[in-house]
Parts: sequence; structure tokens; C-alpha cells
Amino acid sequence: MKNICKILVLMAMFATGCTGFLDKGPLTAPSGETFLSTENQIFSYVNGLYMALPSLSQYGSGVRAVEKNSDNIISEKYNPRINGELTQFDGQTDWASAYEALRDVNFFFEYYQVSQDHETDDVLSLCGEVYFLRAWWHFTLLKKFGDIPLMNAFLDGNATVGGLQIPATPRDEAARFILSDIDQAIRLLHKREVYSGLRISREAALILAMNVALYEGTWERYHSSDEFSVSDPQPEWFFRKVVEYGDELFSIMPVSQGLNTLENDPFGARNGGEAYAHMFNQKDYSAVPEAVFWKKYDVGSGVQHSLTVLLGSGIVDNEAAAGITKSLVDNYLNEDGTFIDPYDPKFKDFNETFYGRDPRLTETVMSSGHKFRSASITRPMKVAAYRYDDAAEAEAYNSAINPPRFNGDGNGRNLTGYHTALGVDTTYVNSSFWDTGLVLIRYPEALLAYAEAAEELGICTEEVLSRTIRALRERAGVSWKKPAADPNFTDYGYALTPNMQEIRRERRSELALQGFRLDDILRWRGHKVLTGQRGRGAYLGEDGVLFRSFDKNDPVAMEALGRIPEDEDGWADPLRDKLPSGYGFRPDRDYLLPVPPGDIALDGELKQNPNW
Amino acid sequence: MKKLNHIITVLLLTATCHAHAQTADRDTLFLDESVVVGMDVQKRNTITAAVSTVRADAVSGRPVTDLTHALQGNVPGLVIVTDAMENGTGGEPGAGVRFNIRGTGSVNGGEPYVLVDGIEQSLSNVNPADVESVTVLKDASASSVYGSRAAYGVVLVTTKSGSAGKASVSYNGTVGFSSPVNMPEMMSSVEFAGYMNEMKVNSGKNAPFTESAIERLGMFTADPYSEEYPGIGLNAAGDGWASAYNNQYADTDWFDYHFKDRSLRQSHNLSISGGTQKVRYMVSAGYVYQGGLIDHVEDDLDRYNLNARMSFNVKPWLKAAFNNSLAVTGIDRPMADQTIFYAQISDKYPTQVTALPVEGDYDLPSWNEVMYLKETGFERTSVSDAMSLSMTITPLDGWDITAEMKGRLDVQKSSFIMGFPKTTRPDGKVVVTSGGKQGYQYPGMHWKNTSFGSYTRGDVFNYYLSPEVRTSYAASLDGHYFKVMAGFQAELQENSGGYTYKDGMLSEEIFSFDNADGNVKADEYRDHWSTAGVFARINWNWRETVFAEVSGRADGSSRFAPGHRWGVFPSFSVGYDLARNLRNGRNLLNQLKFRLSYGRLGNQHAAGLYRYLSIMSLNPSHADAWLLPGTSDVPEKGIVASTPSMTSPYITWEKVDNADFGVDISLYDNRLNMTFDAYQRVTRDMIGPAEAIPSLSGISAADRAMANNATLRNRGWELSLNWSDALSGGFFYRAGFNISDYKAVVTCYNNPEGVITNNHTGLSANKGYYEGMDIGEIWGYKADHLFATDEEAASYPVDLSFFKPQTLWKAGDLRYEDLDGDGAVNPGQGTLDDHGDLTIIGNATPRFSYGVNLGYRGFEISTLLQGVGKRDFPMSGSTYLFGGRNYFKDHLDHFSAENPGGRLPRLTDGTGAGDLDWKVNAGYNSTRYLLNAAYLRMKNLMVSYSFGERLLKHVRLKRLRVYLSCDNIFTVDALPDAFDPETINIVNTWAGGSRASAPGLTSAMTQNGNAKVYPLSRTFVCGIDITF
Repeated sequence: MKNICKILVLMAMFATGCTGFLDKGPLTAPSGETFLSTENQIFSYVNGLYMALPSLSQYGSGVRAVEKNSDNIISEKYNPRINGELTQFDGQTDWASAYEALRDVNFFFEYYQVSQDHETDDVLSLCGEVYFLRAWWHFTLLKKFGDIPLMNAFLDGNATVGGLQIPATPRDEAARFILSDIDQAIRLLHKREVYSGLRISREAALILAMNVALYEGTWERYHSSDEFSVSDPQPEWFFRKVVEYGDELFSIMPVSQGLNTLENDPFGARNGGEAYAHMFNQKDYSAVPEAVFWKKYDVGSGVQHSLTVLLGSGIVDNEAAAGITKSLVDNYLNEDGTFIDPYDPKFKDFNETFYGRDPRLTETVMSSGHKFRSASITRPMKVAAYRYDDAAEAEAYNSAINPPRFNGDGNGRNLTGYHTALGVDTTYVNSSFWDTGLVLIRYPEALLAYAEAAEELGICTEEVLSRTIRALRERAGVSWKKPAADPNFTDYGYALTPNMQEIRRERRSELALQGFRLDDILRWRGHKVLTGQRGRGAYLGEDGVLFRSFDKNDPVAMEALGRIPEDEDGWADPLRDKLPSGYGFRPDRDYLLPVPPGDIALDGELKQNPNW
Repeated sequence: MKKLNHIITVLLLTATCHAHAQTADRDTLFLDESVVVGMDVQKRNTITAAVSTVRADAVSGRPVTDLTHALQGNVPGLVIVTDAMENGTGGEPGAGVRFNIRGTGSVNGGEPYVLVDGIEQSLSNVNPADVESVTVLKDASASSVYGSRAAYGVVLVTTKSGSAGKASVSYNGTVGFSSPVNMPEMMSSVEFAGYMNEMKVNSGKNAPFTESAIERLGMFTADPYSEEYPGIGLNAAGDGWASAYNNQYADTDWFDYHFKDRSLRQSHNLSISGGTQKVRYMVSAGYVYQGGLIDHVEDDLDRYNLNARMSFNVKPWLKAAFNNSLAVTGIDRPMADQTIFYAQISDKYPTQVTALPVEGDYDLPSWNEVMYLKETGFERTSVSDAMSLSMTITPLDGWDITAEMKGRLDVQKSSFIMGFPKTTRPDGKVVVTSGGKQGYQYPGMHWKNTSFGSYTRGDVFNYYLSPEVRTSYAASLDGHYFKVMAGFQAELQENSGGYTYKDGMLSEEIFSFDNADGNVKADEYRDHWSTAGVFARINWNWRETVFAEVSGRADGSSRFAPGHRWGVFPSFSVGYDLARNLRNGRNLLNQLKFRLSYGRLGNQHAAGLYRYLSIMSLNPSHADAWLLPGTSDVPEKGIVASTPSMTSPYITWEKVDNADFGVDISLYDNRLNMTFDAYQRVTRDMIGPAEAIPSLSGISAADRAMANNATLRNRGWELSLNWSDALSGGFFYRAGFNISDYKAVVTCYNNPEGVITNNHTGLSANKGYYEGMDIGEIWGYKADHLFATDEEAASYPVDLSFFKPQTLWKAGDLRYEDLDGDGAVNPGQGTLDDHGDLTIIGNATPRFSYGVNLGYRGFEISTLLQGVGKRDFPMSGSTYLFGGRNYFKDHLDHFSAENPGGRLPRLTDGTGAGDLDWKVNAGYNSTRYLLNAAYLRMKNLMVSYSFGERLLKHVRLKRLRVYLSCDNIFTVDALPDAFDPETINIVNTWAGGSRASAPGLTSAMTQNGNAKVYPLSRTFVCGIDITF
């Protein structure tokens, strides 16, 4: 008994006097509930939110290879979505990561507690950035999943199954919600010049708004009578929003200022093509308004990537052997503004493909003269027929030949003859890591969206064309020709006006290898370019110079060439044996990703997307 | 009231063999022997809990640097940890060894509580030569008074102390060497060329080696690194070395290159003990040097121990004791964390050269890791000082009041230098490597933030304080003996540490901040926790025949929110010694005691330190931060603040309920002793996954609030048998055997759909538990055979298209069997209700761990054998099965037209787009590629000779003994050499593995211990003990 009493006494001591002894909170990390109260703290939180935005990873090809999910790049590891191979679980990662980003964003709104007298313009602009990001992530979800549950509050306090019975908002309403968030952002954000494009700006928000409105508008129009239609399509409303946002953008950043033309270019472009190319291979875009929003890299700070070295050594996709498609190459006009005839036999000559074309072609796809990188020296690509005579100069001539890399194993191997040139650093300094900047939002997106919306509204006048796609063409050094019907234009499965053809052509050329192509195909209901197709490469027939630039006496080279299947006309057809009937993209299903079944099971309000 | 027999036997054998070889009062001696148990010393025969002790000489003579190794095989139920262990380093000098008592306790972990002379301490800081006894408390009743951190057992180490009398001086020294065990042998380069050609051709690719290339490989082998055959030439462009594996033609066994055949080790210990009636003392100093096994670089460990124990009889009513134990450990090696290096070694081609044909100092090529290792250096000095002062007042006879202050200081100083690795180009120009390299960084730093030409220094300063007051009263009355004890204890741990880094080193002459003009980076951490508890215990026995004990403890922990902090943990035990009543004069039956105990303990391990609070985590050098302007005009990474995880305000103690039934039997004048224990340990309120919520909450599974909602049940048994006898003429022999087994089953878990998540089954690879799951179970497919012919594959009537299209199956592919008879092989829905053809093919938990020790004294020989009776291990998905670049001799035994009986499947290239075939044959758990990981290892063999006392008198020595002791002498197992049974569980994260992707739940799968760890070593030492 005596001891029990003692215990009780001691316990009482602890319960009262010593409780403080057990209060051991963190010593180096502040409380999450009071953190967002000063400008510097808000900067450090919002800076962290940038990390979720898509950018170049340490080692990957990133955005430059992402278009293997479209008709712009062929990869041995083709994208399973365009081949109809996804399962109902394949939406999980995209879904969860976007909602995780939204939780971060909503945490900000929940615990933001800057008193009014400390709400400087900088602080307000940061709030604008967070609105922008909430719109960005909802837009990401909208593009992938259609109808989506909107997240406009921080739900940790109610994070139970019961508290999360949230229905999906129909996509058109979701799009309007996204636009309303961007409206808030536009109201609060600084202009680009304040942070030289390194932070989200009002211009960036306007361009995002145009992209959102254009996406939803075209979706509602082209998917008006399929599984993916909305109940009350109002595409015009969205198209008009595109124009409105566009007008507002042009009022604060006119085309003359927004495009990096030969005259504007601070990097010493010698022609329009270089003015275009400089948007992809420079380190610092502070002084280039066209880079509306860009990410700075710096090897010294450890913010680095290896894309430049991958591209320079000819790697199109660091995950597998790949190559750019003939379809993309054929999209480029001649320099004089006329369209090409892709069936013209002259294109069987690899080099001929690049002569007299839109300069953006040679800036996007490697051609003879473009340098490959190696460990310490660089050698230009040279496609020329091998000489087998005994002349003394033949050996020297042959040794200078440096064709596309069909030989070799692994990721460096090219499948089509077309390597990526876009973003290759032309200084050829050798380093394993690079800090070429990455432009995330570029001014031409606005011009292209504006022209497309105007054409959809039927108000795409000569004047509109001239300050949008004509400006883009002329910047690149292509002469302007009034749009006319091109019989060989990409077949989207329905008729297009000449204006629309040229707008879509311009979009594909200007935005090539920048990650837009799949989204465009989806919103245009353009499955015809995928389903049953598989893409071609350069001409590989034995009469072509490309074939003859390999030594026929070298069994290794011949075997390498033999490993690239060709179609009956001799054009490289790398996926011929793998996908004999072309991509299996299912138009009744693959326009949207499947909602994760786990979420449907737990959130009874959610519905699965069509045909999953 | 503990395991009488075991203890008796063991101590009998060791302590008494000289002096009491043939003594009639042995019985009395054993029964009265004191055993250190829960904050007390009890007579052995009064113990009613599950306790094991270890002979001191089982520890002292062993050539081990870490005491833990010496316990393995000596304590039934003590198992070196077999859970998937991330970046464990195997036999690396100074590598920590994790162990558990009675198996997996909680799916969240929880380790035994180790007390050295009453102070919590790492076993690796203990000098084995100082150890007097090791006691292992296994059940709740034994551990109860230790409370909050003792839920999964307690290891009590007591060091030697002095006794009144003449001072005695002892010296003990050993010297010997260590060699790596289980080194895999790589293919010769000619074998490799054939192997690669076969692999590439099988995958529809070019054969990388031509006939002439293979011929050249042969030439090199005949005349390696000669002027004519340097093994390497220029690359195609002519501006560098040919780096591709098929453009080099050397013949390198990289394991042989990187590891030494043997390295030196030695130890020296000196102690002085003695005392008077008033003061007793024991002071000792120890030194051990262990050379590492990595060749070409510095790799070693030094440890100094200083130990002092003093006790004072100040007054008849006042005693005091002071202990101080200092350990200073120095480690020298190229990098702090070398796991990436271990992955690299096994990731090299035999055709690659180790050195370039150039003049000068920089002839190592970039693929030879030594080029970088040579230029880097990591040094760490750790100082751990544990001390305690206790005062005991005895106001009345039998009543003690003890106040004790325990403290420990752990400080560390480290430095890491990165020079400038250099290599020579063919044109003779020396190229200096700039930038950084993955793996080469100070711990806690991101490698992207580091570069060559830098210096980092770091420090750790941790301290631990624990005041304790307790009082006890013991009395006897009418054959009733009772003792009550009560007390309170508090613990406080404060940790801090950090590093400073600077790059831009001007020269390599000296590495210092003054000599550098580059970036400075710094980081720190500080954390703390505390516990407090009150405890009480009552012991009672009647004529040492019937025993009972009741104890309890109330504990609070800073890891839980107020209101959820405190837990009350009671336990009791009873015992009945039948022998007391049955005893006959001939001492045939000395003991027959039944014991029963039941008790509850708390576990706080899973809770993290501050999970109940919303914490903003700040990172000033986030590797992925963007360069943004704002706080400054210059774009900078700045500080990144991350959204807090969801808080867990309601979590509290995991409750560990222990029930133990034991029998102790001593027979034939204590010559045969047996202890048997059967137990059940149930961890209730185990922290498990919270209710699944839709992922649209934005809360990733790892960030979700934790909840006390799961239960794990362990059932097991332990048996130890010991026989010892004295022969005429002072000779003496003993034989001991112990064996233990347990099975852990999840009995409650929040997984309502019964989803099976198991790696390498085609299901998602998260860790997943469900009700009824045996910990360690391995789901897989039945597939015992390979298709013998293409026709057999083509006409196989079962749909295998889940794995790859039906048309792609060939001879040498795994023939999966249709178990559920639906005509197709697949994992179904991956749930318990519908798991298709998946079945449980094995279990990775080691079963039937055993130890055997034999001794013969006179001319002394003793040995310890240790092993595991049953264990499965899936090698699917490991790099060993062609997934990575392992080119061992074993791999030559694969299926091919010439070798249709090959053990491994046909060769396919696991890289790029061609990974389908590889996955089919090597990516899924299958019965064919399930390894039997059972083993028997001779852990130690010792031969010693003690010189006779008469002889020693002439040279004035009390004792002189010489011995030869060898560890890890041989192993019997069925594993390929690349897998060591004791490191198989180690996951090398650099090589792509992770604990979360381990198979089943407890063992490693991806990139596991297949040669991607530091090898264990076989050690031979000769030693001498002198006492005068």
C-alpha cells in the first residue's frame, strides 16, 4: 500500500508540475499555421510551389521528347496512350500529383495571414501567382480528365471519406472557374518586366487564360456530338474570351515588343531563323519579352540539366531510340510561303528536304552542316554518297561523311533520320551539365490562340492574320502568302478553311517539340492523325543519298540500316513490325484519361470517363 | 526469478571451470549467483521472467569490433535484423548492426533497449574485453520497469568491476587478419563476350563482339596490359579513349580489383582492478584497429576505449558508485556513404581496363571508381562518453534509497575532402574533372550542391540525461520473502549537428576554408525528446518455491499530443519450482520450475518526433528549387518552405502485450540444463495507415494522418539445452544448443478490400498488409520449368499474354503454370478474393534460428555454429537475374541450345525497349527462382592453452593464456556466391532498390544484397591474455 501511495504521489507530481518537461516541440521548423505572415516567408512558400511545374529534369529529355505522344516523334518506347494501351489505373499519377499541387496551393489561401497594412504590391502579386497556380493545376486536370472535382479550399481538417464526397464539376463550369481564378491573378500580378519573366506575371496569366478558353472552346465545338460533349456547348463564349484576353495582352505587350525578331534579338541573330532558335538555346531571357515566363538554370547553383548534351549528341528521347517524323518535317512551308508537295521525288534526297524551307525547319531538325557533339570535338552532320573509287581524295571525302545515327544501340540510335536541333547549344562547350534556360510560356502562344479563336468566330480578318501568324512567319523569315487550300495538308478528318489550315500549320511549326501537339490533337478531335497511323521517317531506299551515306562494305553499318524497317516506297517506317496496324488510339475512350478507380470507390459522387 | 537453468549452465562452464572443476557446492553457488535484471540484482533462482545471459568468454575472445556480432547465436530469440535494410553496409568497418529480440515487433519498427552499466548506449561503443556479463530480458515482466523504450526487449551489459584485494593487472592482445567472404567471381572477358553476343542476338540486336574482337580478348588475357595489348585504344573520333565495353578488350575481375585479399587487425587491452573494503575500482584501456577490405584507398577503423568503474562504501548506510566509459572511434575511408560504390563495383564490364596506357600519375580511366575515390577522403572521429553516479542510502536494513544520474555525450567531428580527379587523354593532356558526382557528398547534403575541389566539415553534438530515484525494501518473514521497489525516471535527449561546406579550392595542397573561394553552404539540425515515468514492483516468494512478481509503469512521451501522452503498463509473473519439493539427496533433479508472465509495454517508436504538430519544413538548399528573384534582385534558390504533412493529433502509444510460459529444468547435479519458453507478443494499437481517402484530397499516402489501428501478433518459442561435465584430471567439456522460432501475423489492418501489394507479381509495388498476413510472405507464380523448345512454347495451352504477347514466347522462357485453371496466368484483381494464379510461394522470415556451442577445456577448444533452418528469398527482379550488369561465373549456367538444362533462363537484354523478355523471365516472383536462404555458419572456432599455475608462479603471473580465434570460417548454404545469407536483406538504394519495394514485407528485392554490399569478413587472430 505504501508503495501504491508513493506512486500516486509521484504521478500527481508529474501530472501537474512536470508536464512542461514533455512539451518538446520542433527547434528548427516554424509552425505551419502561423508561417504565412510576412513577405519573405510568403516568398519562400510560393517559390516552393514552382517546383511542381513541368521543367527539365536532371537527366531526361523533358519537354523536347514529350511529343512522342503525338505524330511529331516516333519512339521505340511509344506512348501507350496513343496506342490505346492504357489501363484504368493509368490516370492515378497525373490525378494525384495535380491534386497534391492543389493542396499546396489551398494551404496558402487557408493560412495566409498578412495584415492589410503589410500587403505590399509584391505580396499581392504573390497571391496572384498562387491564383495562377490553382488555375494551372485545374487546367492540367481539365485537359486530362474532363469533368473534375474542383479544389478551392484546404480540406485537411475534413480529410475523411465522408468529408470528401465531392462531385465532379462539368468541364465547362470548371473552365469558367479556372478563368475566374485567372481573373483574380491578372488583377493582382505584377507585369513581366518587374521580375524579367522569371516569375509568373500578368502577361503569363493572360496567355494561360487564352489557352484555357481556347482549349475549352475548341473541345466543345469539335466534341459536340461524341461521348465527350458537354450538355450545353457554348464554344463562342470561350472564343470571345480568348479574344478579350488577347486584346488585353496586346494592350500591355504589343506584338512589336512581344516577338523576338531579328531587330529585337539581344543575342545577335543573323537571320529570322536564329531569332526563333534563340528562344530555345540561350541562358538568359531576362531581356527577351517573348519569354513571358521562363526558368533560369545555373550550373554553379546546381540548377542544371543535361538536355543540351543529349540533343547535341543526337539523342531525341533519352528513354529509347527515337526520331522526328516526316509528318512534322512536311508541315513546314517553303521559305517563299508556298506549301510543299510531300510526294515530290526530290524529297527522297535527304539534303533536298531542307533547301529553301521555312528556316524554323532547320532550327528544329538537324540537317547537313549541323554539328554533333562528342567528348571533345564536334563534327558536322554530313549526308553524302559514299565514294568507292581509288582516288586519293576519296578517303578524305568519305571520312567527312557523318550521317544520322542509325547505328549503335540504345537511346542514341535514330529511327527516322531526323535528329532534334531545337535547343542545341551552338557554342559547343563541353560539359555534362547545362544551364540553357527553358521558356515555359512564350508570347507566340497568344498570337496563335488569338488567330484560332478569331477564325472559329469567323472574324479572322486580314488584319488579324497580319498581326498574328503573319508576324510569326515573317519573324522566322518566311514570306507571307494569302492562305490557300493545301491538298496535302494534314487530314484531321474534317474540312478546314484555308485560314484554319494555315493557323494550324503555323501552330505546329512554331510550337514544335514544345509539348503542345497532343493537347491540340485532343481538342481538335484529331484522332485521324493517330488511329491507324504510325509515322514515317526519311527516305531510306538504296537510291537515296541517306542510304548511300553509309559504307556498303561495312557490315555493321549495313546491318544497322537493315534494322530500320521501310514502307513499300522506301521511307523509314520504324514501327512497321511492331505496330502493323498503326496506333490503336481509341476515339471513343482515349480522349480522356481514366479517373482513378480507387477514388471512384471512395468518392461515391465521382463517375468514370466514357468507355473505361 | 529468471531463467535459472540457462544461466547456471552457462556460467558454470565458464567462470568456474578452473577453480571449481569438481565442487560439491556448485548447486549453492549457482542458485545464489546474482543476475543483473531490471534495475536490480536478483538471485538466479528467484527469477520468473524470460531472461538469457551470455558467457563473458563467448564475447571476450571473439575478433569482433561490434559486440552485437558476438551475441549472435548465443542468445535464443536474438536475431540480426532481417527486415529489408536500406543502405545497410554489410561488413563495412564501423557499420551498425541492427538486431531484434523475438522477431518483428511492430511494422513500424522498434528496437531493443540497450543499457551498458545502466546507461543507454550503442553496443558498438563497448569494449568486448571489458564485458562481465550480458543479460537479455525478453518479456514484459522482465522489462517492465524500463518502460517506454523497452517494449521489444532489453539488453543489459555489465562491465567488469574490481573486488577488494590485491590489485590485478591484465593484458589482452590479438593480432590477425580479415579476408572477404563470399566474393563472387566475374566472367572472364572471353566468356563475357560470348555471353553478350548471345544476349544481344536473342533480343534481335547486333552482336557487340566480332570474331576478331574475341580473338583480341584472348590475346590480352595471354599478355595483359602489354605494349601490344594495352586493353584499350582510341575512340572512333580519335579524340578520346574507346569507352564502350565492346571497344575495350581487357580482362578484369572488378571484385578482385577493388577488394583486398586480407587486411590487418589488432587489439590491445589493459586493465587494472582491485580495491579495499571502502573502495573498489576497475580501470581499463583498449585499442582496436580494423583494416578495411577495399583496396587502393584508405579504409580503416581505430577505436580507443577507456573505462572506469569505482564503488565506495562511504558509510555503513551510504554507498556510491561512479562509472565512466569513453569510446573514441576514428573512421577513415573515401566517402561517408559508400553504398553507391558497392553498386558500381558490380556494375562494371570485364572487358574494361583498370588503367590506361599512359605515362604519369593519372592513368586511371573515368570508369575506374578509384580515380575518384583516390581524390576524396572522409574522416570521422566519434566520442561517446557515458557516465553515471549513484548514491544509495540504507536507512534500515533492507531499505535502500538510490538516486542516480546518468548521462551520455555523443560528439562527432567529420571532414570530407573532394580533390580534383584527373585522367589522361590519349594526346597526353591531363583532364581535370569539374562539377560533382553522385554519391560524393557529405551526409545530409545533396550531391547537386557539391563539387570537386571542396571541403566539408561537420559536427554532431548529442546528449542524453536521465535522473532516476528509486527505493526498495526487502524483508523475510516465515519463509515469505518480499521486496518492493518504486521509483521514477526521466529521460531527455537533445541532438544537434550540422555541416559547413566550401568549394572552389585553390590547390590540393591543403583543404581548408581559407584556401577556397567558392560557394559556402551550411545546414544544421536540432531536435529533442523526453520521457518520464514512474514505476513500481513487488516480488514475493515462499521458500524459494513459489514466486510472484507484479510490476507496472506509467509513462509519458513528448512524441504525443497532450491528452494522448501517458500510458499505464502493468505486468505480472508467477513461478513454481517443483524440484524444491521433489528434491532428493543425490541432486538428480535440481530444478523444475514453471514460469508464467503476462504484461503490457508501450512503444513510441513509430510516432516520429512531432507528428502531432503542423510544421513548416524549411530547406535553404533544396536540390530542386528554382532560381527566382523576389527576396533579392538576383535570382536565387532561397529558402523553400514546404506544406506541412497532415497532422496526427490523436496518435498515442502502441501497446505491446507479452505472454510467456517457461520451464526451467536442471538435472544430474546441474549438468544438464534446459530452458523452454513459449510466448505470444501482440502489438495492439499499432500505428497503421489511416482510413483510405480519395487522392483528390491531395494528401499522399505517406502524408496522411497516422492512426493507432493495426495489430501484429508474434508467436514463438525458444529452447536451449546445455550439458556440461567435468572429467577427471581437471578437464571439462560442454555442449550447448539453442533454437528459436517465431511467426508474425498481421491480425488487424485497415485494408478492407484485401488488396495484396507485393513486388514482382504484376501488381502495384507498395507495401501492403492485410489481416491474416504472415510477415515476410512472398507472393509469386508457380513456374518450375523453362520451355524446352520453341514448339513447346508455341503450343502451350495456357494464355500467357498478361506477361507478353503469346507469339513472343520462346525456348528458355519461364513456363508459368495455370493454378486456378482458367486457361490464363495473371494476378487477377490482386485481392485475397481474386488473386488469379498468384500464390504464396515462400516466406522471407528466417525460421528456426539456432546456435550450437561446444567446448572442451584443459587444452581448450570451443566453437560456435549459428544458422537459420528455413528461409526463402526471391531473386526475381534483382540485378542478379540480368536486370543490371552482373557478370558472374554463375550466369554462364543459363538456358541455350547448347545448354538446355541451364538453371537461369535464356539471355535477353533488359535495357531500353527490349525489357519485356527480361521481365517475363526474371521480373516476377517464381518458384524456380526462389532461393533457399537457410544456412549454417561456423561463427567462431577458438583454440587456447592456459599455462599451469605452478609454471606461472616462477614468472609471477596469475594467468597466461594464448589462443587462436577465427570468425566466419565456413558457411553451408545453397545461395549463389553473390548473395551472403547474412546480408541478403540489404537494399542498395543507389542501385535502385528501396525498402518500400522490398518483396513480401520484410526482405529486400530490388537490387538487394547481391554483391552490392561490403562483404563480411573471415577473421583469424591470435591472442594472448596475461594477468599478474
